[in-house]
Amino acid sequence: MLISCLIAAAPLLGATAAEDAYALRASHVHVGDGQVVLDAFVVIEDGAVKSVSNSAPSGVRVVEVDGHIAPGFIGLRETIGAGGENEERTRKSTPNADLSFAFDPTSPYWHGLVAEGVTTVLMPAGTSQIAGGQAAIVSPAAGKVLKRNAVVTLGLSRSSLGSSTAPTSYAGLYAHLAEQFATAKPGSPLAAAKAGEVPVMMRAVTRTEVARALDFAVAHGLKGALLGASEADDLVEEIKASGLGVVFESKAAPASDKDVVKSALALAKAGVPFAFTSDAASQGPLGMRMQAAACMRAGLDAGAALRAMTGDAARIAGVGETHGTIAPGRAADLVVWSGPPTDLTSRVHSVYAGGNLVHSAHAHGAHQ
Amino acid sequence: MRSYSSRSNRRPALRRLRHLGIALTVGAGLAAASQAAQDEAETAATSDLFLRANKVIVSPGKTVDNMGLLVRDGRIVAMGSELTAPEGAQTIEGEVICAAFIDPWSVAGVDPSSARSDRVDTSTRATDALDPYGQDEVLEDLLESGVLMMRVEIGRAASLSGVGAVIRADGAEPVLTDAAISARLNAPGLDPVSRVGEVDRLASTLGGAKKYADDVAAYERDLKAWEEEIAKKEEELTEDFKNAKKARDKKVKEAEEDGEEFKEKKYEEDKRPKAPKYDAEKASLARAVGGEVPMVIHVEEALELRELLRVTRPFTRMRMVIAGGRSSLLFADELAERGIPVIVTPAPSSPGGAVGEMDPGFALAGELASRGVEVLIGSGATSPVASRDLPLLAAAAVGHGLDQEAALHAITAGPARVFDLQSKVGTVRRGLHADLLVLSGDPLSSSTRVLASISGGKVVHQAGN
Repeated sequence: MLISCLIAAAPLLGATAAEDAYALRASHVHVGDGQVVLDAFVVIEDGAVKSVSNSAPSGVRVVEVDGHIAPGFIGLRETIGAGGENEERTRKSTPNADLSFAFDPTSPYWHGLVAEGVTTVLMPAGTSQIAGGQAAIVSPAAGKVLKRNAVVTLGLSRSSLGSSTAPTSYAGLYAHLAEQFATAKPGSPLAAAKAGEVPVMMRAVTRTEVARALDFAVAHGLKGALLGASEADDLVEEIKASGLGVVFESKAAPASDKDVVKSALALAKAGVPFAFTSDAASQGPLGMRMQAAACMRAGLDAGAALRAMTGDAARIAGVGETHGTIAPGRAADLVVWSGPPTDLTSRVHSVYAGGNLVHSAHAHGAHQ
Repeated sequence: MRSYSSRSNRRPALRRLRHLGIALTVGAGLAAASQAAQDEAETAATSDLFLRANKVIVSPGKTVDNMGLLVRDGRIVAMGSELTAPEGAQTIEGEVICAAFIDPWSVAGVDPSSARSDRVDTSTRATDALDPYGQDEVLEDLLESGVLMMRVEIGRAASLSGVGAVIRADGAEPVLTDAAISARLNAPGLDPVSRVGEVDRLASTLGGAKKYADDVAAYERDLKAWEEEIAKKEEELTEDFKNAKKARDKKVKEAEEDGEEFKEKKYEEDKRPKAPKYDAEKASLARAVGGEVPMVIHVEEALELRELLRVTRPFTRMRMVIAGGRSSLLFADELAERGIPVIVTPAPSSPGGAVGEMDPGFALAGELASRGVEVLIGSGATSPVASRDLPLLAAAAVGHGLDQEAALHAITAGPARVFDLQSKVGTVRRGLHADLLVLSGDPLSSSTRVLASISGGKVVHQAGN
């Protein structure tokens, strides 16, 4: 459906195309919502996708690329370029903290992530805080903050409990959190989260932590996603009813936590949106793809795996209207792969961020 | 001596039950479901198995379209496109058939405390640490992922650990009880002088083992010469016996007549050669120095690797295998020339990715292969569950420059060759053991599923069961 209307829109391009517009042509264009357009042209203008079509746009320079075009991957927890600046260690809650201040665009680590096809990441607060602040959406390739105060991050797992500082118990944690929400001033991040205007990302790891987090989210009308929840397969119905998505914590050695694979399959079956953290700081730049591939080897279909790393991830991060899919108006954050983007055997040929070529395997290959 | 361990009765009860399940599915078609369960399990274990796929990867890079395979008594007994399933045979079909994956560097199936122990020496045997009961769940997972064989080692904390084994994931059954001797030169906490010292210490231990082997060989040579000499003398004496007796009798008589005491002539017997004192550790290590079993050395840094390559040059018969080898690209030419394979564990090098020749990260496997080094891919023997990710690791290596064929070689035919099992497993040929995978697509593709795992001719996993 989407494809046909895109094709219909194609003739509108033509001679009026701006000077800086160009098109990428590839055998496969993975839209990021599960659809694949064969032998397609992606027209890019002013850093955004203008159209995806099967017919050659006229008056626009066409760059033939060898392989598959997919949206850049979106890593839903990435602090590799934060240098530890994302965590306020002396206070359990700093709900107004703006995590975009933790972003260091000059960090040399970002490039490793971009070279693996990740163009957008969500930088959340550290896991030891309760209401640690507001996550920022950043483009490591462009070195830019894309959206401030995008997601309210909440830590509702054991890691947010202190041993000698309050709260030391789950009861104390929820009492503290409830008070934070109750006293939130209108216009403040927590008030916006309560009004459903800003999504939340709630870290809850064990089954019981997830159950508590779900109760709290439903009672406070929160929208967004759980973070962690490796045993989500036990609570599929409850999660579905809450309207929340799930962000799984990727492992570069997926065998070390088989629950994630089981849970991802269960959520896919139930139609609950899910995504993965990229966590390159602890898992290396390939962790997210390894995790997704492990799910695929166990039966997750390639389309669902790609959605988890692109379209659904963007929606969970609250940037679904601008990122995560290849559609008119979306940012031209594109990756050219040698084969299907979810396949570990595929190589990154080139990466575009905001329409600019930011990485090319030929130019940056380890030992050419 | 290399030997196959016989299938023992130590199979855990849980696994018996699962095999029963498969037997029942087969039995259903024969309308024999009511037959005694035990009998059925026996029938299924000995009956024919017929596999068919649109593509059979005989060996990496060599494929045959649309072929059937007949498996009987644990072996591939027939292959061909015209082959059909014999009556009563269990039939499994898929898109692709290839040899089962072999993890050349694993601790799956081994008791975890033995795996990380420092209380081992070169004569300690990994087969003594196998733990099919405690590791049952891990091993089940491996059957699902298609990793049906592992070279396991123990004694991670020891610089020289014992004799590793190749085992099947199915019940941790040994296929080869003396696959390799392993050593470790990976103590980055030490200062450079001590690190080089560790390498020299290994070299002197290897030298000691070589001398021991030489001494044993010299002793055996001397002993043989001595025994031959003695036999010759005995023969001479037997022939001359009559004359000698006469001469002696005469002398005895003369002595009596002279009233003297007769003195027996003393035969000077050559001294029997003395055997060197038996040393189990040296004897075991000597087998590696002499090339009888491979010597796997875990080494990552350039400092140790350079010194290791230097000090091992005199050991021309030793079949060295580098494990890890993060910086091995610096020595690719020598590794290729000396035919030293490298077991790579594709992993992120630094948080930011590759940092150059010293540490190319995921690109290491591909770069080494392009320089002519034989690459194996292993899970790194850090945790038992890690072996499950072996196909992902091989795929990640492909995604960073290794050829598909080389990657498949790295987890099938390669480990089989390096550990002397190529006449048994690692490829798909008539007469070989039936350790095979039936897949829904290309072996390393992320969207491929393992439809069935066949270990030693037995169906040990089937998707959906």
